[in-house]
Amino acid sequence: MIETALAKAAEVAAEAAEVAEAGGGEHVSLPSHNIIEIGSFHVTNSVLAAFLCTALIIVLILLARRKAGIIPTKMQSLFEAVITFFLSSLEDAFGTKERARKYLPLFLTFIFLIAIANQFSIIPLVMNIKLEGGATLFRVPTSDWSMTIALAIVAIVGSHILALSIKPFKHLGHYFRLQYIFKIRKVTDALNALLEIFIGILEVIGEFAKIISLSARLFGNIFAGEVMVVMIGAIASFTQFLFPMPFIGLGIFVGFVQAYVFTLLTMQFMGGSIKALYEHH
Amino acid sequence: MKLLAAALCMSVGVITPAIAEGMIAGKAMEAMGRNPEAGNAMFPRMIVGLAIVESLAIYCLVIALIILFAA
Repeated sequence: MIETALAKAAEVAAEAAEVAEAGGGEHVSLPSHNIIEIGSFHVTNSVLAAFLCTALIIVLILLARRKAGIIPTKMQSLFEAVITFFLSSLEDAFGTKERARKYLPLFLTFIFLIAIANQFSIIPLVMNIKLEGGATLFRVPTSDWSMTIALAIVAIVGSHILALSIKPFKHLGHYFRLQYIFKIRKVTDALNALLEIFIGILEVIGEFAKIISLSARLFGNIFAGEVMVVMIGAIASFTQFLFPMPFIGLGIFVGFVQAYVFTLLTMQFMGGSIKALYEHH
Repeated sequence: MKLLAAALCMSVGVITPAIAEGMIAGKAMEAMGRNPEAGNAMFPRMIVGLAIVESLAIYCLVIALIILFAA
């Protein structure tokens, strides 16, 4: 059912591409614009922007590392505050300090990448480079659904791979609850076992729903912010200047909050499934 | 017709998430006011709750966008 829904979504996106191309100089488009194709790999403007974000993160981290020492520089104390904060919330989600320390890099990658990608539109001049046909060379990476779906798949599939690598049978037993069949002693136990199997199926569907909701939340918030700024600018000629400013401010705030929410939810999902493996019944 | 569908989708779909978000934030504030030391522990949980409720509104937004740009 979900596969057909995803296929349908892909079809819809392809149709949207045609509509956007037919529309001409439309600013807002659901799919991102293809720039070059290397084999079957499409390099879109949001992929280019994501590479630029990665480069920016590397530069930022190198800047923060410079002159880092016992007496912290301003950059160093900012990064240390972020890392300490995430270490403590990871400890809540995963249970112990060692596990929190082990999984910290993944979540720091999420938070830095998403936070910087969400703020991509406020980098001056970069967003104004235009190609022939009205498309821009760069596009806010998280306002492309492919990017957020990719992030969500990495998060959810990653959590399953991690859980399977620790205790494969216990993790699978959470979804295929066949162990209850062996506990049948009475008629009511049989009903109970059926119910447990049904709950297991629901959990499997829930995993796919997590991917969709995680990706749609990030995409929807960032894309809506962008559409709002464009719409305000398009109302009349005098609304192009001061009027979008509060909405841009709101967009910056929402960008940070959504980066935090994505990381926090990923943390809860991953921490929940890994913590359950160490619990004894 | 498409515009009407998108507008209805957003305006009707946002009613219940708005009520739910108000309730979550209000209750969290109440709890934080009663027990200020636990505020730091409550805040991330409140954000998670808000985000999960918000996803309902976001589904409406995505459907409205699909109606507007794709359907």
